[in-house]
Amino acid sequence: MDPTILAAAAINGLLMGGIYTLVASGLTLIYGVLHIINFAHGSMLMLAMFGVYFLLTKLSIDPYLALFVMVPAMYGLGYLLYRHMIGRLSLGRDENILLITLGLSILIENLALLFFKGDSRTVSLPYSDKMIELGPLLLGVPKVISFVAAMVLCAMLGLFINRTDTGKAIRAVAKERMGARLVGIDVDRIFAVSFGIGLATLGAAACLLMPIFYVSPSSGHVFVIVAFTVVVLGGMGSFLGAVIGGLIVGLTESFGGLFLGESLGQIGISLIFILILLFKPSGLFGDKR
Amino acid sequence: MLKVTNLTKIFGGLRAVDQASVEVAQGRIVALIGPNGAGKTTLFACIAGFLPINQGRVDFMGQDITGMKVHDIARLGMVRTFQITQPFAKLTVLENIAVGSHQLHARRADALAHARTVAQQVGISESMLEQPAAELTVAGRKRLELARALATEPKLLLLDEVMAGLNPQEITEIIGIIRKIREAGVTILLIEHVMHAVMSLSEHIYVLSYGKIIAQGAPLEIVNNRDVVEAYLGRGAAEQMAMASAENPHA
Amino acid sequence: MNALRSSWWLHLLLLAIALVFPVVFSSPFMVNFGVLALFYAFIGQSWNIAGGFAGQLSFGHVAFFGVGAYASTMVQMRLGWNPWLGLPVSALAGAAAGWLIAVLSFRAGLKGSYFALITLAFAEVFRIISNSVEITGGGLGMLIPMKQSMANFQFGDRRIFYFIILALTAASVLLALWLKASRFGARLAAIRENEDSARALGIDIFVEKTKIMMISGAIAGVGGCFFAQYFLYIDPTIAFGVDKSVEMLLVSMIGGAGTVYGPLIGAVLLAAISEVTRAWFTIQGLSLVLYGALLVVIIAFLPNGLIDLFKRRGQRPGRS
Repeated sequence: MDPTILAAAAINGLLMGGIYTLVASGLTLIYGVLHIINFAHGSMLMLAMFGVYFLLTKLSIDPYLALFVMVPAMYGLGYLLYRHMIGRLSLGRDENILLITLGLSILIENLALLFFKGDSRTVSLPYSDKMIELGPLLLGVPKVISFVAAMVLCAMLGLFINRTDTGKAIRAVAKERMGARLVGIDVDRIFAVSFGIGLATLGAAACLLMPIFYVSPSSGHVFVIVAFTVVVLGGMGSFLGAVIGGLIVGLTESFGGLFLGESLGQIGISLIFILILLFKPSGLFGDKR
Repeated sequence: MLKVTNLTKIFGGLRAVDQASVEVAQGRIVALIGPNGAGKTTLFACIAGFLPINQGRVDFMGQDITGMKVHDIARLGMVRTFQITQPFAKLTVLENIAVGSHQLHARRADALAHARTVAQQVGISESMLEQPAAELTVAGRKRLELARALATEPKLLLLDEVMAGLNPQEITEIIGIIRKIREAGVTILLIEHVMHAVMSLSEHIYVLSYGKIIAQGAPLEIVNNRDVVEAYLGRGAAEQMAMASAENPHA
Repeated sequence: MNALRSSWWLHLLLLAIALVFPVVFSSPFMVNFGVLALFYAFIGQSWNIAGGFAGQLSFGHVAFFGVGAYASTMVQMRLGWNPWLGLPVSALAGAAAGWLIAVLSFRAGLKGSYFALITLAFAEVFRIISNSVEITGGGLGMLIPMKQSMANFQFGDRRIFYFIILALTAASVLLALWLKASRFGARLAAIRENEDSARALGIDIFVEKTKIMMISGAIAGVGGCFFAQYFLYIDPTIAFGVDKSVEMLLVSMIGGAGTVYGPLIGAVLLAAISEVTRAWFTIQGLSLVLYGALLVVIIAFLPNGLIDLFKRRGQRPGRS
């Protein structure tokens, strides 16, 4: 096999992987703090992507600029959604909340189907076809921008979690809920904030994905499996794990497509998911829960 | 009946159980006591197969059961109860006990009838039988744990703090029930903090402290054992007590 | 035993209603409605015995359905076997898939949400494989040529299909009733409520869970065979797509997971929503929107399913 092709596949895999990391970091945050497996993560990403799509087609806002709109909007949505709905419903068994988020994802996906019909949408930007040269490789400009933006945002999220007071409160609640309450942290607010951040990462990911991907009401499924695989691979609740996991998944998808063809290539991600759950459910960096 | 030899269980760096050896002869009631955190429940969990052992062995009725699966050990006739009760919440009390009865009674009708008998033995009233287990009080749950285990017709019962949370009358009742169970031929090893129950029930006592067996013997011996007193009350306590009673023989 | 004896008349009444239904309502629309309702009750029951009775919630139950659908279609199309043989073949295929997923997942100690997710992944793997290999027809799926005859398991009069699915559903109800009255069922309930206590009482949880997954898989597999014969077409999305998993889960959770008739109640409701929204509103996908909303509402307010409404009125159908 031509090394250039291999290298191209590797680079493309890493580029996509960066965005998967962003998507997964929201999921892992929500799980780490709220212990909720947010099954609706994929369909919410799809919703956000439609948001970006319409911002472009109706208001002519460039997807990358839409970051300034989408991120706060999705944060607000997440905060309110938690406060008024999920917070109230998350009592009882672990599986109940999983079922509720499943219900939400069905609801969202089919509302989208109802309003937007089943076709895939893509966006076309003035720089969509521009390429950057990296040695013998040609990389699409939007992909590179998206990757860089994703990594920057992940770094910002990491700094936020590690350096700010809210971030510390979030880490406290994630580690020991009762203890956090006892030292005066408003745990419910932190839950809402975390859920908000989780959705905000989707808002960001949507802006970065729209220029290089497509959106359709059924994309939710695809994203859910990818996001969960990254999180499970990296370890539930581990931020570093989401980064490494995202890159590995991106590479797997890319090489899978290269060696097995488009259709069978998708199997790589699901297989990773299965293998990790069977042999190392705590993932690469997660703690054993 | 039960012979535990040099059992050691290590968690990370901590020796939760350290070279513990326990023997329970058939038909006896033996108690395992010790301050909180001494490793008693851990020892039970190891004996019953819930935790893998680092060192040592467990022999039950002459057979080496070290490393056997929990359900296999239970089928051989050793059944444990849990310190924090774990009822089958959505099932009724009768259905809970019937799960135990099913060990030896395949037909549903037989199991339910047997469960009823066991419930009576343990003092669970008819009216409680149809209640969902989740709605029971602590005392009710403890009785249910006992009844469920008893329903499997075990040879050896491991009772983990079956009296915790009971009022004095309930304790007296349970003591009577445990004696009857023994009279029916079941050997009993129990973990207990309620001292007077331990004293009146057991024929032999093992004392566990920081994972080690520090003393064993008949109840009266244990009570006067200096190491035991110190394990519960702290170092030097035995001497202080001796001095205090020497100074004031009427205290 | 109790549940059966005290309300045998109720069971017979339901059966009687089901039997005369296609005679009274013989329009193609109503017969199709009946078939769909019973079909969902049948595959819903498959999910129910694993998820509701034994507490093993799966999000990928479609895997067994699809395996059965493809197995029966392939022996018919590739090997030329009589289509009726598809029934036992699909049952075996479904059971085998159930065994495989059970053994892998339970050996690894997966439960609760992790188990739900891994079943989803397995279904997805099956979907991708069936989409990529020639023997299953790849992305195009498999078409069964229409040749209506008794011997060929195809009927012009759809009511025959109705009675077949009715027989299958009745059998699944009998199975559920048996589970409620048997030691196996009692053990599954114990496993569902508390695995550690179950083990302490001598129950081999691995074996019991695997057994129920095999039975559940067999039922879903047979459902796949029926579906293939009714619609004469399957493809990877139909056979392994998430939609069916959701529907199997939904009818049980909405009707009442862990009860004998829960899936039937849920299925009738879902089929009604589906047909009504399609006929009156001509909007595609509205029914699924309602399903999703219904699931959220039910879990939040009536976690035991609609059957709770019957119980609350003081009228308990036996002891479902």
